[in-house]
Amino acid sequence: MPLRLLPEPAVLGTLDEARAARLLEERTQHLARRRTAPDRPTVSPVLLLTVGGETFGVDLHRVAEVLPAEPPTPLPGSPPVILGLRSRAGRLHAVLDLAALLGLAPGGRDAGSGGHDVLLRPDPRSANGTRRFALRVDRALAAQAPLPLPPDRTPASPGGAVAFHAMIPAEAGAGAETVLAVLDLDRLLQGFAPAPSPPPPAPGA
Amino acid sequence: MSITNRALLGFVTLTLLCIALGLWSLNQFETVRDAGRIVATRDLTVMRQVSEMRDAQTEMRDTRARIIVSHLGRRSAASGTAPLNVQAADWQRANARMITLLNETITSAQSYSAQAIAPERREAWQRAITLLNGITAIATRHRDRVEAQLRAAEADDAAAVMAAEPTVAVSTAELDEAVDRTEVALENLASVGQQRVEVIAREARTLILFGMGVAVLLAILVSYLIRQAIARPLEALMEFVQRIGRGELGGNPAREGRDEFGRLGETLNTMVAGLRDLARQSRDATQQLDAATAEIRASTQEQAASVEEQLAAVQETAATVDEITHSGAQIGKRAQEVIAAAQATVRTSDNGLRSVEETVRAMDGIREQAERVAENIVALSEKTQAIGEITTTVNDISERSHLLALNAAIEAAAAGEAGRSFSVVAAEMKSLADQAKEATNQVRAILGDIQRGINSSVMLTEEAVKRALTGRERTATSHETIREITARVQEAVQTFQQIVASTNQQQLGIEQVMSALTNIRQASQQTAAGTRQLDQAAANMAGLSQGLVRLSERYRL
Repeated sequence: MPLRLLPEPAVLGTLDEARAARLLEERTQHLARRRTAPDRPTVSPVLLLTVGGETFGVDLHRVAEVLPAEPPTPLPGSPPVILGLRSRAGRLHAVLDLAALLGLAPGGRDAGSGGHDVLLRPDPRSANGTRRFALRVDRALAAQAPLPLPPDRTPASPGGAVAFHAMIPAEAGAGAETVLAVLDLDRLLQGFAPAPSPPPPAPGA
Repeated sequence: MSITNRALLGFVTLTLLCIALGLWSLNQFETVRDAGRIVATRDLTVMRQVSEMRDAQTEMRDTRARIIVSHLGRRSAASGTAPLNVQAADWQRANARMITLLNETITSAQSYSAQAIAPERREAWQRAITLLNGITAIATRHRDRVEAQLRAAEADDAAAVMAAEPTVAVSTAELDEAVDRTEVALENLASVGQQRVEVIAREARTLILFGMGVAVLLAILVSYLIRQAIARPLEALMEFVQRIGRGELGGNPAREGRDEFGRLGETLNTMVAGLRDLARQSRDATQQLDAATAEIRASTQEQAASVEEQLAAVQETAATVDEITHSGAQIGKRAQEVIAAAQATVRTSDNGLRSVEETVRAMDGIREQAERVAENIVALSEKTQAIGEITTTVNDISERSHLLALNAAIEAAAAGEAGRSFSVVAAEMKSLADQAKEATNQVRAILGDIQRGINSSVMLTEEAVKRALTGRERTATSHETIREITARVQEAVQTFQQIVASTNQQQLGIEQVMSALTNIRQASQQTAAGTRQLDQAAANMAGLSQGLVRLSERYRL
C-alpha cells in the first residue's frame, strides 16, 4: 500500500519507529526461517528475465554473468537486432535485443533503469560455437528453479524459441504465481550461427 | 392789400390829419399871438416914450417954477445976490431931454407907421405923428417964451418976469393939451390894434373849426373804409364758424385768399377738413368703442365666471397644499428615521472597517505564515531531495547487490553441487537485495508521494499566499468599499439632513403658500366683487358709448 503524505497526514503519522522496528523484525524472522524442502519436482534452475512485460527463463548454466546495461559500441552493417558490441574482461560480446529477437514490443524498459545485459557462456556444443552473446533484457530478476506447469495448464506446443513453460510459486504474502517461458538459447540464436567453417578455438576452453 | 396794412393806413391817415390840423391851429395861434404882441409892444413903446416926455415936461415946468419962485423970494427977502444961472441951465437941460424924447417918439411912430399891420393902424399912426409934430411946434414956442422969462429973471427984471408969466402959462397949457391929445390918439391906436387882433383871432378860430370839420369827415370816411375791409369778411367767417359750430361740416368752404381772412379761411377749411376726418374717425372709433364695450361686458361676465372657478380652484389648491403639508411632515419624520438608520449604518460600517482592518492584519499574518510554511516546505523538499539522492545511492547499492547475488547464483550453479550452499547464500543475498530494492522503491515511491505532496503543498501554499494576497486586496477593496459606503452614507445623512432642512423650509414655504392662498382667496373674492362692479361699469360704459354714438351722429359730414 503506497503511503500518501497528503492529503492524509494521519497515515504519515502512523508510520512511527515502533512500526518500522516491527516490520524489520518480521523481515528478519522471515529471512531467518528455514525453508522447507520442495515437494514437487523441480526443473533445472533458470535465470528469470523480464522482457516487454513478460517473464522468460534462461538456463542458468548458460549464463556467464549479469551486468548493468551499457551503451554498446554500434556495429556497422549489423541488423537491428544486434545492438552492438560490449567488452567484458577483454572479450567482445555481441549485444542482442531479446525483445527484438522474441518479436515483442521494443522499449518496454525505461531509460532510467537501463536494463541488464545477460552475458551467455559460449557453448561449444551448439551451432554457435564459441561466439559470445549478450542478451539485452529489461531486468534479470533472479536465479531460481521453477516448477513445471501442471498438465492441465501446459500449452499444447510452445513453438518458437520457447523450450517449455514453467511456473514460479507465489511467495508468502505476494500475489499469484508467475508463469514463465524458458527459452531455448540454441534455437534463439540459431540465425546467428556462423557460416560452416572451422570454428576458432575458444580462448578459455 | 392786407387787413393790417389797411387798418394801419387808416390809422396813419387819421394821425397825419390830426397832426396837420394841430400844426395848422398852432400856426393860427402863433399869428394871433404875434399880432397881439406886435400891437402891445409898439403901443407900449410909444406910450412909455410919451410918458417919459410928459415926465420931462413936468420936470421942465417944475424947474421953471422953482426958478421963478426962488427969484421972487430972494427979491422980497433981500436984494442980495443969487446964483441964478445955474438954475436956468437945469431947465434947458430938461428941455433938451424932452425934445430928444419927442424926436425919438416921432421916429418910432414913423417906423411903426411904415410897418403897420393894417391900414387903420397906419392911419392912426399918421394921426399920432401929426399930433407929435404939433407938440414939436408948441414946444419950440414954449422954449422961446421960457427962455425969455429966464433971461428976464437973470436980468432981475421982476416986471418982465411977471409980464411973461401968462404967455408961459398959456404955452404950458397948450403943451399939456397937445400931449393929452397925443395920449388920446395913442389910446385910439391901441383900441384899433385890439380890434385888429380880435379880427385875426376870430378868423383863426373859424379856420380851425373848419379844419376840424374836414378832419372829422375824413376820419368817418377812413373808418367806414376800414369797416368795409374788416367787418364783411369777418361776418362771413363768423357765419362759417357758426355753421361749423352747429355741426354742419359739409357745405361751402370759406373764402380763401392772400389776405389774413383768406388765410384764416384757408386755415378754417383745413381745420374743418381735420374736424371732418376727426368726426369720421370719432364716429368709427365710437362705434368700435361701442362694440368693444359690448365685448368688454361679455369678457367681464366671462371673467366673473372665471373668478368663481378660480375661487373653487383656490379652495382645492388650499386642500392640496394642506395634504402637502402633512406629507412634508411625514417626509421629515421618515427622513429623521432614515438619518438615524444611516447613522447606525455608519457606526456599523466603522465596526466593519475595524473588522476589515483586523481581517487585513489576519490576512497578512496568514500570508506571512504561509510564506514561512512555503520556506519550510522548500527546505523539506531540499531534504527530501537529499533523501532521494541517498535512496538512489541505496538503490544503486541494492541493484549492485542484486546483480552480485545473481552472478553469485550463476557462479554457484556453475560450480554444481559444490556451490549449492553458496547458491543458497546467494539466493538469500539476492532476496535481501531485492527486499532492499523493494524498500528502496517503496521509499522512492513514498519520496515521490512526498515530493508530489511537497509540490502540491508548495503550489497550495503559493495559492494560499496568492489567495491571501487576493483576500487582502479584496479586503482592502472591501475596506475601501466600506469606507466609500460610510462616506456615501454620511453624505446620505447630510443629504437627508438637507432634505429635512429643505422639508422644514418647504413647510415654512407651504405655510407662506397657505397664507398666500388665503390672500389669493380674499383677492379672488375682491376680484369677484370688482368684476361685478366692472360689469356694472361696463354696462354704464355701454350706455355712454351709445350716447357717444348718438353724439357722433350729430356731425353731418
